[in-house]
Amino acid sequence: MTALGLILRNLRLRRLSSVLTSVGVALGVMLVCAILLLRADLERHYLGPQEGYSLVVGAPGSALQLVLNTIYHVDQSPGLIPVSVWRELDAHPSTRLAVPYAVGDAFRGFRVVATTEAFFDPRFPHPAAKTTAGKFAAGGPFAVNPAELGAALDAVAAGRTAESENPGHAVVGHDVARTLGIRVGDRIEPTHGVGSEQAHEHEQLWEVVGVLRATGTPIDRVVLISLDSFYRIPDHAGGAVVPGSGEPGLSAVVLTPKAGMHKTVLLTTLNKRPDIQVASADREIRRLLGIVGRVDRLFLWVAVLVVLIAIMSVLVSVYATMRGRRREIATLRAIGAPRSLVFRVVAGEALLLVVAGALAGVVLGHGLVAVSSGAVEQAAGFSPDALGFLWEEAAVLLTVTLAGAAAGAIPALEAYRTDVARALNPGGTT
Amino acid sequence: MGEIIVDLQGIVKTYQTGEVSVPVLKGIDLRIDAGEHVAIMGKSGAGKSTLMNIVGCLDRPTAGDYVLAGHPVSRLEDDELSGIRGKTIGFVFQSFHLLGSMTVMENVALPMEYQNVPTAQRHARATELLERVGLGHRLGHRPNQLSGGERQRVAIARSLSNRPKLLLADEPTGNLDSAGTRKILALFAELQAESGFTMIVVTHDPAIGNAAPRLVRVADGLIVEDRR
Ligand SMILES: Nc1ncnc2c1ncn2[C@@H]1O[C@H](COP(=O)(O)OP(=O)(O)OP(=O)(O)O)[C@@H](O)[C@H]1O
Ligand SMILES: [Mg+2]
Repeated sequence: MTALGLILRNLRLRRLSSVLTSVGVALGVMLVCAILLLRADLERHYLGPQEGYSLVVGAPGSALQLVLNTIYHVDQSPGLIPVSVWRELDAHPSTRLAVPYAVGDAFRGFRVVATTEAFFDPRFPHPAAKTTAGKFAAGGPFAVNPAELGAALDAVAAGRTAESENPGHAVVGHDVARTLGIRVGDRIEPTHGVGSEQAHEHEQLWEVVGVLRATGTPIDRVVLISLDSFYRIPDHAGGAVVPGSGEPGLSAVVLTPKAGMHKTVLLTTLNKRPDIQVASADREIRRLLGIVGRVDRLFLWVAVLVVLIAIMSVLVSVYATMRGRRREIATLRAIGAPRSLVFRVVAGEALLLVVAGALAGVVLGHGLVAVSSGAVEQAAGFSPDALGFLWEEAAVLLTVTLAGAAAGAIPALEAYRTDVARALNPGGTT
Repeated sequence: MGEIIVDLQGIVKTYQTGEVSVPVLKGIDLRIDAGEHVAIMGKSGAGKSTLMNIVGCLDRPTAGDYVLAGHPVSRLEDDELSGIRGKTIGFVFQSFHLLGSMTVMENVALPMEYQNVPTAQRHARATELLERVGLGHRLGHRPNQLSGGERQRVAIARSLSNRPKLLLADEPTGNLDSAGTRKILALFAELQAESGFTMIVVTHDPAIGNAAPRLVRVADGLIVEDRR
């Protein structure tokens, strides 16, 4: 019988305890893998899309909240800033591009962002493309008619709702188009508010003029509408104004500074003003990940500890069987099995339990991520990828395998050293 | 006089238990020819099993020389000894020592595997031996499904699988009733007549000892009687 044959027989003989010790390893490895996967996705999700956003200008409040709301479309907007701020920033000598954002509407579960053609400017990096046309999978951009926008803003400032002959225009992200089966030329009617409870229908219709190409970023899940049409939504007559001044409001302006010192210039000058704040997207996200990172490192250590304990329990369980097996080992030796075989049988048993557990753990870890992806998306605004494989997981498998081999070596050495004569004559004098 | 199979000279075995050395064998000289049938008797604690372990290469003497079938083995390394055991010696133990995780058939075939006998040949030989000991209908059973006498017959079949020159049996009937004992002894006699192996049996039973062609009596680590 080869070592593997003997191992499998021994394991079958002690089925329950074998399975239980393996399950311990599997649970530990599952936790480690799930944490690693979630962490990698979190970083990919938060570090990828923020590139190129640079500065976000919004109402005073939490800078992190402003960045999260504007770039990741999670959380609430901290408030409104006057439209005049956008006009001013657009004309600022340090500004390369100023993209206005008016948020707060949702269309069948997807967030609606009202903006201008600046969003489709090749200098705005999402979706990254050399030309405006390159940003689209189908159709093309919309452009805001300055006269219509001016009329709509005047109406809002006066507490009325402007009318227009023309329907509003919309561009949808890739996921929106795919999920809802929307094509260029379709008419959609956004509803107000992100939660479904307070949602109610506007009577206006928007014509879809374009579908953005897939980016793997939150932009895939956004419906863009023209800014003038936003101010013509009837309910916005009261809600789209900055409290106090009564001026029409925007949620944020995404600002791309000119190269060189201009970013610092904008940051320092704008942050002196009491009515607005400027957040550096990069800095806020790295700060967030720093906090999250500390927490998930703690979780990771706990999971690693679980794996270690499980491997110890494999060692203990194999070791515990050694007393009962000494006779069997001695018998094998008596009928001609070499020492190395009994070493391999015992070490291999521990190794097999650990490796089987570890492999099951990797599968379970991915399963756990798949099962919890809905909850994660609710909580963190991104849906983790359960099918991706990380090099860290290979490292985990390798480390656990080595630890299993080390754990198996201890009882195996005991088996190797078995005093055959004594083990065959239990009690000494027989 | 044929080939000398076991040649022990001045065999001493001393166990070290902590500070105390316990001399168990105190100078054994014993020569056994090929084909002999030897019974070893002696009081409990006399050193019979210790002697058998050395003869069977399961243990090494503290001093003295042992030549087994022409090979000096008293200084060999552990793995060389296990090779010699598998090839040359068959063991039958008082408490059978069958492997519970395997079938009767697999138990008997196992020693051949360590001598690299091909699978088909292993199966043929194991089947033949089990039929010979009257267990041809039990090939797929587990040892714990058999009676004591049947288990010992499996152990005997296993001990003969590599056609050993030397069969060592330490109280092979110690766990059996008198009917079982008689059957096993008759089987040994028949098998020895067929195959011509050398056989050494340790026994407490005077009837068995006296019936053997040669009787060696051990007392306090020394041979005190060697009657042919
Ligand atoms: N590994 C050991 N360490 C120390 N002492 C041992 C060891 N093995 C045997 N002895 C001692 O050696 C002596 C002889 O033991 P052995 O087993 O050879 O006796 P025996 O003649 O086979 O007895 P029995 O008839 O009871 O089987 C006993 O006193 C025993 O306690
Ligand atoms: Mg004994």
